[in-house]
Amino acid sequence: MTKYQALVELAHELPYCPPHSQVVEEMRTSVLAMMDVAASPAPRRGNRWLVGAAATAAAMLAILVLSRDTSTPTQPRAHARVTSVGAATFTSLSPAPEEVIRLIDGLLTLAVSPLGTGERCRVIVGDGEVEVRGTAFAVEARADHLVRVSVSHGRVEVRAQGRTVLLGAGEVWEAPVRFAERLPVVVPVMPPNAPAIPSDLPVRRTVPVTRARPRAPSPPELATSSSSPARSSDPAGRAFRDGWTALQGGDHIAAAESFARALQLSPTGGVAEDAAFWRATAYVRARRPDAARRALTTFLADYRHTVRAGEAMVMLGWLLIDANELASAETQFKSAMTASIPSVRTSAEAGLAEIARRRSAGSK
Amino acid sequence: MKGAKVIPLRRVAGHADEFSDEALLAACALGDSAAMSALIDRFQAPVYRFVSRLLSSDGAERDDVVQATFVEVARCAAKFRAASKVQVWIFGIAANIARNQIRGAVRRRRMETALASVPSLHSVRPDDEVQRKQLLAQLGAALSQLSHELREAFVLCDLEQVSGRDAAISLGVREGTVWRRVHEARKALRAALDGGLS
Repeated sequence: MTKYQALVELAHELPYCPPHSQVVEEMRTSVLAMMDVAASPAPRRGNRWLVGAAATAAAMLAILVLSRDTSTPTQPRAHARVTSVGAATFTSLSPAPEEVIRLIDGLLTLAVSPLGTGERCRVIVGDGEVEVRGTAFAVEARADHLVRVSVSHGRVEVRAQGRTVLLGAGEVWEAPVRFAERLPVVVPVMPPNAPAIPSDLPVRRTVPVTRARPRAPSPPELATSSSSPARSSDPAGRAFRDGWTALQGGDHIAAAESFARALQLSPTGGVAEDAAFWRATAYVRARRPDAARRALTTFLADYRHTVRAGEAMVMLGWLLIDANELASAETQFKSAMTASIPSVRTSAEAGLAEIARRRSAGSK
Repeated sequence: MKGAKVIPLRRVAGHADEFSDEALLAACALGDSAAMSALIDRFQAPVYRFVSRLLSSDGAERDDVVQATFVEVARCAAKFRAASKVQVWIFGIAANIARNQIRGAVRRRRMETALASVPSLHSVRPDDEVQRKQLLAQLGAALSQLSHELREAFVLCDLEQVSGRDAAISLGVREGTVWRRVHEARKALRAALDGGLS
């Protein structure tokens, strides 16, 4: 062994103390909270003249930039304009010139500008992929399986189930009916502009902070999302949106009431699950433990198997601890331990530890 | 067609494991806190370890740097250009933040105190285990004494097994510069151990 190798081997043994899980959770909470602050809109009050001056400066800068020679190389520009129709699970895996969109669940419409040499744009689903070349089309997946592709104009190549099919304008590709029938129905789970976490939960210990926090889609992107609660014209959708506005404004009671109204108007509609969950969260934030407990219990009874069940169980568990109903809290935390979200499990662990601590303190 | 953005509207049911590092980072760039949380789950352990070795500290200072690193990751996610692996990119951010941290006078005082308490090799007992522990203590102190540039190159390449090319990208220097720093770091550390290495 050379001296360098011995040195590196010795250096690998340098003592390192991993952080306590509580430290990691605190760090996570701080980081996510900062993300929220960064994403929240700027305060409306302020010096209007300053805003005006900034706008003027920006306009002048834009004019300057536009008037310059544009032949300088720039970053490749995205070719695909992606719109979700209703809720969808998807993300961008790779930017231009090799744009790849990974779709897991839901319906997307894409409008792709003509691609240059060496440029590609693909939508990948678990069992297939769709490659486009300057076209507009819709692609739908259920549970990571390609279900349907329809082309508005242009041409699309669909590669699925070991075959390649070229679709022209007006043509549709569909997965075999047997497969499509046994797929679960896509339920819109996450409304637009959802707050990141119920940050003032009674969980003063480890908070389940991994709630998905989708950004509010910009208006053009929502143009075809007719089923989105944000653009819904039905009364339940409007009530739901009122709930969001109130929740974001800190009026938690009004938010809870709006969500309850949305739920009442559409008890089995697309926004029902969202409304039920956020009604409970709003009550938690409003520090109305009794109402929050009722709402969480109802939510768990109606939506026991949704992805949010773990978070609801943890919230309910901590409320039950505060009410000193340790046995019931323990049941909730134990159920939450099966949740797929690590921080929910961490919070459940913290809850179980707290119960053990209280029992130990009580027995002394 | 310009300005199109991919917006994850719904949390994935199931584990985030199915997403690549790049996909999670892309979602972070769009403000998806679930993706950020998954990214923290995935990288907090290596980042804590990396920063511990950079700062020679397991205390609050390290925790501050790690937190600042992930805040910066969230802020700069959109700037990631996949020139290196995501982990190496995060290491680069952590190294920059640690560099600023180390510039503090408090840090220097702490290093001096740590150096003063390091036992000399001349007091080594004829016991292998004790000798190895003393070597480790001396190595830790010598690592602290290196300049930040040498230390980050040594920790990245020799301890975290990052390739010279990736290290160069994440540190914003040439690959040759990285290897020169690694070489100088090794040389300095070996000299500091004063023949203790067999």
